[in-house]
This record gives sequence, C-alpha cells and structure tokens, in this order.
Amino acid sequence: MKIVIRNSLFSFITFFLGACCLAVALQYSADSSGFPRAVALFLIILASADLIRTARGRTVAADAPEEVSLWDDRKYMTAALLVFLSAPAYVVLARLFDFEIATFVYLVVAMYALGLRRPILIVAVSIGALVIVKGLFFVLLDVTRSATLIIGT
Amino acid sequence: MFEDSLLGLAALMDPAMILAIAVGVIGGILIGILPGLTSTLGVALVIPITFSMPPQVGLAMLGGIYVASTYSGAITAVLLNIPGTPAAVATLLDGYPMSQKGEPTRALALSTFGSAFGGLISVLALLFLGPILAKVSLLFGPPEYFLLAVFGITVIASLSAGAMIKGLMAGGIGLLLSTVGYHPLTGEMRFTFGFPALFDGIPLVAALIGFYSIPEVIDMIARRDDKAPEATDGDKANPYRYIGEVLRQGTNLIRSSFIGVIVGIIPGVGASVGGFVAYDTAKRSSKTPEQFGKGSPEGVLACETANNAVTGGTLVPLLTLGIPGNPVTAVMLGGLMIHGLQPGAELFTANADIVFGFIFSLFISNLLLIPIGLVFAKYCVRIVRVPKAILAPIILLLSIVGTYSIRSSFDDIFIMFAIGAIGFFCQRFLVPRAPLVLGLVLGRLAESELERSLALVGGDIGAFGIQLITRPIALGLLLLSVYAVYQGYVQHKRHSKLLDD
Repeated sequence: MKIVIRNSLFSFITFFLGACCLAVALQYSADSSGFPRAVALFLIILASADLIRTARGRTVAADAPEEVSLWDDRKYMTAALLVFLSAPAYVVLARLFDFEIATFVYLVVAMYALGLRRPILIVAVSIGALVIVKGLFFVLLDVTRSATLIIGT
Repeated sequence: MFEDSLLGLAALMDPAMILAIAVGVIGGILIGILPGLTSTLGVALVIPITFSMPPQVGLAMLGGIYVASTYSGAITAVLLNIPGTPAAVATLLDGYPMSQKGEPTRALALSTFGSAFGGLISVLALLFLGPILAKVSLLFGPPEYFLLAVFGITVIASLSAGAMIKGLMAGGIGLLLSTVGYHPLTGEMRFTFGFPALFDGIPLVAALIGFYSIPEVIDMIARRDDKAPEATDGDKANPYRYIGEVLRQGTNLIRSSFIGVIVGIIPGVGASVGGFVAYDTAKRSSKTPEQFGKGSPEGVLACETANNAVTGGTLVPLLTLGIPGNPVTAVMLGGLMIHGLQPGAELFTANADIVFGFIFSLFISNLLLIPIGLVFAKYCVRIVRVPKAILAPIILLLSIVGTYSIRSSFDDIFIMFAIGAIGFFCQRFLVPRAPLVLGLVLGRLAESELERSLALVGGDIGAFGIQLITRPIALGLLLLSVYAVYQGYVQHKRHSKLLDD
C-alpha cells in the first residue's frame, strides 16, 4: 500500500474518531465533558490539517518507505486473526470448564497450529507452563478464580 | 540526626535484615517480569507476611520489592518489547532495538546499572533533602499539577520526531481514552456505554499489556520462521564490563536521577512519566539524537536511571508528611501503620532507628540489584532463542492471566484485547505508540487538575490564565512546556532535513 494512502487512512480514522467522540461528548453535561470535547476538537483539526497536507502532496515523512505492507501482508493478517480468535476462545474455555483444562488445550493447539511438530515437547512445555502459571498466580499470589459454568469450581 | 543515622546503620548488621532485603529483591524482580503484576500488587501481597516480622525487617523486605519490581519491568521490555511494569514503557524505545541489534546483554546491563545508580541517588536525596523537598512539593496546587501534566504531554513532540503529526494524533487518542469513566469532579459517566468494567476508566496495566504484548505476539507469529538475532561478539562478554560505559555517561546519570527524584516527590505523577521526561531530556542533550529510538544506550540508561530514582522520591512525602504519592506508597503507608509507625516529622525522631534502618535498607536493595539483577538478566537473555511457536502462546497466556489477576475480571481481558487491536493498528500504520501511552497515563491527571483549577476561580478562564503566569512554579512549568514544544519542533525539522539530505 502506498505510504500516502496509509497516512491518509490514519488521518481519516482519527478524524472519524474525533467526530464520533465529540458527538457523544456533546450529549454529556458541559461540566463533565469540557476536556474530552476539547481533545476531540483538537483531533479533528489535526486530522483535517493532515488530510489537506496530503492533498497538497506534502505529507510523507522523510524516513518513510515508498510503500508499506498493511492489509496486503497476508502473514500479519493471518497472525492477527489467529490471536484475536484464539484468545477469546481460551477465555470461553476457561469460563466453561476450568483454568487447567483450558490452558493445557490452548497451549497444545496453539503450538501445533504454529508449526511445532514434536508431541513430547509440546506436552512438556504445556504442562510446565501450566504448573508455573498456576503456581505463581493462583497458589502464591492467591488470585481469585471465577466459578466455571460446567465444572463449577 | 547523625546518631540516629548510626542507629539505622547498626540495624543492617542483623543478618535477618540482609536476608529480608535479598528475598524482597528476588521477589520484586519476579513480580516485575510477569505482565500484570505491578509493584503495588507485590507490596500489597507481602504486607501480611511482614506482620510477624520486626518492623525494620518487614519494611526492608517491602522496600526491596518496591525497588526491584520497578527495575525488572525493563527485562521484558528489552527482550520482548513488552513492559513488565508501566515504569518500563520508555525503556522499550531503545532497549528493544538494542536487543534486536544483538546487544541484549548490553541493554540489560545498562538498565541494571542505571537503575541501581538512580535508586542510590534517590535514597541519598531521601536521607539528606527529604524534609526540605517535601515542603517544596506542598507548594504545588492544582494549576501546578495541571501544568506538570501538560509538561509531561509535551514530551510527545520529541517522541514523535519524524512523524510529529501522527505522534500528536496518537497522543490525542491517548488523552481521549483517559477520559473514559467517571468525571473526577461531577462523577458523571462518560464513554462507558453501560459497561461496568469501564466505570473506573480504562485499567492502565491491562491497557499497557494489550497495547504492547498483543502486537508483539502477532509480530512473533507472523515472523516465526525468522532467525533470532545473533548476539554480537562484544555482547557475549561479562555484563560487568559495561560499568565503564555507564560511568562515562555521568552527566546523563546524574541528570536522569535528579529528574526521577523530582518527579517522584510530586504526588500522582509516577515512574513512567519520570522515564519519559528523562529520555526526552537525554535526547535533547545528546550529541547523537538521531540514534534515539534505534537502540541508543543513552536512552536506555536515562529512562532506567530515572524510573528507579522515582522510588526514593515517592518516599519523601510519604515519610516526612504522610502523603502517599502513588499507589505503591499508599500501600506502604498501610504497611508502616500496621507496624505502629505514623509517618510525619515525628517519625524521624520517635522512631529514628526504624526509619533510618529502612532508608539504609533501600540503599542495600539498590546495591543488591546489580548482582541479583544481572544473574536474572543472564538467564532471561536466553528467552530470545526460544522458538517463537513456543514463546508466542506462552506470552499470550501470561498476558491473559496477568490481566485477569489485576481485578479477577474477565471483562478486563476483553479490554486488554481491544487496546491490543489499537496497538496492532498503530504498529501497522507506523504510528509511534509511546505518545498514546503518555496521553493515557497523564490525561486523567491533566483533566482533574484543570477542572480543580477552574473550580478555584469560579470557572473564569481569564482568571485561570492569570494564575498560570503569576504563580512562580506554574510560570516555570509553563515556560518549560513551551520550550519543550519548540525544541521538539526544531528536532522534528532537523530530523526531516537530515533524512531529506
């Protein structure tokens, strides 16, 4: 993706964010929303100025590459998808069953999905990580565990 | 005072004291390395354990945890680009690039020596200047606090050299995120959309974990077949050989320590801001500012020295006035009271042996940081050679469990991922992330103090403006902020011109 398009896209998103926040902030009392209103307005002005600069062709930072990979970099998008889907899946597993089961299943599946093909290593690392995390957080630091929906502990 | 100091010094002869300090330092390092666990949590968890100990020993252990956990956030920042604690956010800027250049041992050695030096200077400040500095901090009213936050925010201009507008936009987004939650004066909810987990605002630690660890895990997965950076020949050597390099940067060390102590004394500002301000100042004073952000040893040393110098600084108002300046010292105040100590001027006379023993124990904690920290660093360096297919899921797991552990809330995990998505977009859009963090960290302070300042003058903006220029400290901070923006602009222009040429 062209660097100019990427910069414009960021400015446009910032403009949109500023406009939405300003619209929401205007619904609150003036006493409570002076600061967010001012910041949102600042963002709108800044993003508009940057979009105008872009239109005039004066926006590219001197050290920026000519083109950058963004959505077109399949590796990054696949990785992002993996992270944003696998982690909520882990949370759901932990809520449904138990921390130990969820952690073990999650680690085994994640390592296998990332290309590790040594079953003994996968199982050993999963058990090791599980013991360390459980020992540190839930035994030593006594972090409260939520009741799970199926096992119920 | 001299006799009292001797009493405190004598307390260190007790082997139990040294053992407590060592245990505190080791525990603190472990806490700092784990995402989600902060100095506050570490100190809070250990207070019940110290009940049964003599006050001096218990306080020494708490001090060891505070000092070491502030330092050890740098270990994951350098090796994994994930700050273990908020204090280490500025360390990412140059620590991780150094590690990527094949110099992780050098970066960790500089962090360790810098932290120890900053910590030692802050203990000396606590010992000799404590009561005087505490009185100065009392001169800060809402306008001064507001301008202090503004001054911190102006650092954005320098952190974004080369991409100033994007940096300012990122800073603005951070400021907007900081307004989520109840209004500091009216209590009205803003931008929470009925989501209870946001009522108290975006949890800072969860946000930092998401903002840095999620993009890093994605990057690891995407580049899992790439080889880990090979350590350079020089970096394989003994970390103690970097003492000379550290000492050659005497001005940077002393300046950053001074900044850390001052920032620490002022309640409510925090170690992360100390790190950023020292980093920014080091960059402005450096002969090679273009190296900052690309693995500059000066940058690593500045922020690590300053964030540990904050520790002694925060104890000045706590011990002399009984005012806790940050969450850790608020918890430590509880620890002092549990041991029957009432902070204030009398503490230095009625319980001189205990308070001076505590101050000297902090000195020892900072000295012990060097051998213990370097042993940890030596083994932690091996993390970078672990296959990414193993490392990425474990980091993600630690991020999730670490975030959950803050408030035992699953909602925080989803907030962490939402912030992680913002971090990922920033990374892909080549937007500097540090300004956003700075906006998030300082936004609440800036807003609440601005509102308080306005309330004091009945909402009259003209009167507020007059206050800013008639109060000496406020005027000084205002001029500093203007100068910082001007310097940032000059640097930005110079940077662009250099690259154009």
